[in-house]
Amino acid sequence: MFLLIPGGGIDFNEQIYYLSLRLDKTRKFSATKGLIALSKTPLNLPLGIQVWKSELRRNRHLLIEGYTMTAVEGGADAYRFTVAASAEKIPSILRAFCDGQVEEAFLILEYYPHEVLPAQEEAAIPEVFYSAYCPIDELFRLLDPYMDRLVHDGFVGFGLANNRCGLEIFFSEEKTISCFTDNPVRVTNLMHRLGLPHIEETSFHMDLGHDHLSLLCHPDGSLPEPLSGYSRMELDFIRFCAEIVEDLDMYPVEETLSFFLTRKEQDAIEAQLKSSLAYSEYATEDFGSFLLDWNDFVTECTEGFDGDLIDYQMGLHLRDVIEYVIEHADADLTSKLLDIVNDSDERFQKLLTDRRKRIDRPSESAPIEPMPFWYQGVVEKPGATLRRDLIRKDWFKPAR
Amino acid sequence: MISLIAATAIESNEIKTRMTGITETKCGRFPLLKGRISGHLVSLLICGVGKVNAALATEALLSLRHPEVVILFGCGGAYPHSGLQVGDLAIATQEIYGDEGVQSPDGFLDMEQLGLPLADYQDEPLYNQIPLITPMINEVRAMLKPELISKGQSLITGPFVTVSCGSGTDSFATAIARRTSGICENMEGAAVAQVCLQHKVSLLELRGISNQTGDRNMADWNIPKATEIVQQAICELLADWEKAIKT
Repeated sequence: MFLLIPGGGIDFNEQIYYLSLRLDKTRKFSATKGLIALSKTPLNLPLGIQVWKSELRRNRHLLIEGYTMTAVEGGADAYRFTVAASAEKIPSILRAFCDGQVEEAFLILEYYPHEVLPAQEEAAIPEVFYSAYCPIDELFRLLDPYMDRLVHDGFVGFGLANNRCGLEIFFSEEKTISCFTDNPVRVTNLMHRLGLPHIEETSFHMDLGHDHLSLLCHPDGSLPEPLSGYSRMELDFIRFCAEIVEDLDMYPVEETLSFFLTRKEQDAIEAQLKSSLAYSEYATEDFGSFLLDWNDFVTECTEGFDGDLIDYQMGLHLRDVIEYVIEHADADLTSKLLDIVNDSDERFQKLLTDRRKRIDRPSESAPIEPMPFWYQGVVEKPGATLRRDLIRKDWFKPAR
Repeated sequence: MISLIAATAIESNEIKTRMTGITETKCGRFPLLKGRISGHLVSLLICGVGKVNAALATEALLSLRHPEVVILFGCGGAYPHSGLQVGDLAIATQEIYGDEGVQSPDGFLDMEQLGLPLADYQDEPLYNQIPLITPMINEVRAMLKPELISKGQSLITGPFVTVSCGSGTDSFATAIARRTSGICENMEGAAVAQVCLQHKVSLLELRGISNQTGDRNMADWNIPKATEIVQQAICELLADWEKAIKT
């Protein structure tokens, strides 16, 4: 048993004295007086998170700034940093994370575009929007007028990513930063520069009971500068997020597929594609988008494919490119890519009918032997255009 | 192979007695024992005290023996704020070079403030903070904690600080703890961590607490208790190693 009893008050900027009471094997208490959290800075949470008072009584010591680092499961050289930092530091952390690393990135915005009613039975799920790649300076210039509202609103998450560089940083609605990197030293240095210490994984405010608050939850006149200068309409996250979506021409994405390819893995993929006669033109493209596009294609086929035969063949061509990389990658990367496409592949296989027949492979595709499953048969819900093209190709004629 | 590193023989005697089928050999110029614990092939390297010995030995070990995992263990001093007491166990989540820098009239300047990287890692300068690429810390903590709590001992994870000049005064210990947020002081960890990082080999560092840092009073030290607890912990880990490395 181990109790820490704050004594003499808490002064986060100086020292926190504690009495350590300890019950040892002989069931005797011993007490020592010392210092706690000498260099720990209290966490000034954004207004959008309110930790319950009952939790604060017991766990105020958990509200400190700091970060943890964990290796990403299944990812060679991939690390996830989780950062708890005070609200006023968030913009500079986002900026510092990108500076010198990427020239451009896309914005990720997560929010609830429709009003959530308290009586709603199902838990609301936020929608995720991506922008196109944009120069970093330009992105921050566009975000600047919204930054305080994005940071403080408890129903908004946002971040920046560059898939090709294997970088992602996201400030969630839980008001913690997650970032992914293949270089733990760089982020460790950055955290040190920002005065954020390494802390225990169990030390995060989101592990405590808390409420999320939108900026409209706060009574008139109670918001601090600079938020006090905004009108109620400007504080409404549904409105200001919609403005950002419009300004940056963002599009909704289905978060059904989640993966992280490190820069090293993408370098290896680029080298493989470059060496292929058929696929070298894709070498400098973001390979992650091929994986996402294949997943989207399968989803589209599940709901009913709207395109024509050429569109359908181009969808299958995505899987050809992925297959080429899978076949030529090292064992670890092969296994990782197979894991990523496994669900989409399984879903697609279930959609296929008439599997004794073959769809013609696009001329752009390199030959794969034997004929892969995605060309064997056609999806059970071809739209009118695809059906028309298949009829013209005698697909539905009985086999002789 | 799992490689165990300790600075001194005193810190590793129990491990040695638990090893079966021992063969004695050398790794570079460092003594190396090979054998098995709980069926696992392990090697035990005595690196000597201090950062230079630790770095040389670890470099030799990783270059010549290619272990899958390195476990560094031994005694350590608890910083005042850490909550650790003599006989407790600490696990490192990060290593920090505590006294690489300059003590100036304005306070301590670390290597980043001096603009002098200690090394590079993937084109990024490596200063005082060394991240540990250890995926199994949470599992290890979960495995060891219940047993320690039942004995009235604590297990705390956090940053470790490696120094050449130990914190033998309260003011010195407080200053280092303040600027590093470290929980445990030692003399080899950061060097081993740096070499492991550069070889991309997982490092797990465990230390039994032999003393509190601060005004030096050897009467309050308990090295046997510290070495006992850390070696017991390692044997427990090896007995259930598959669980520890399931990540």
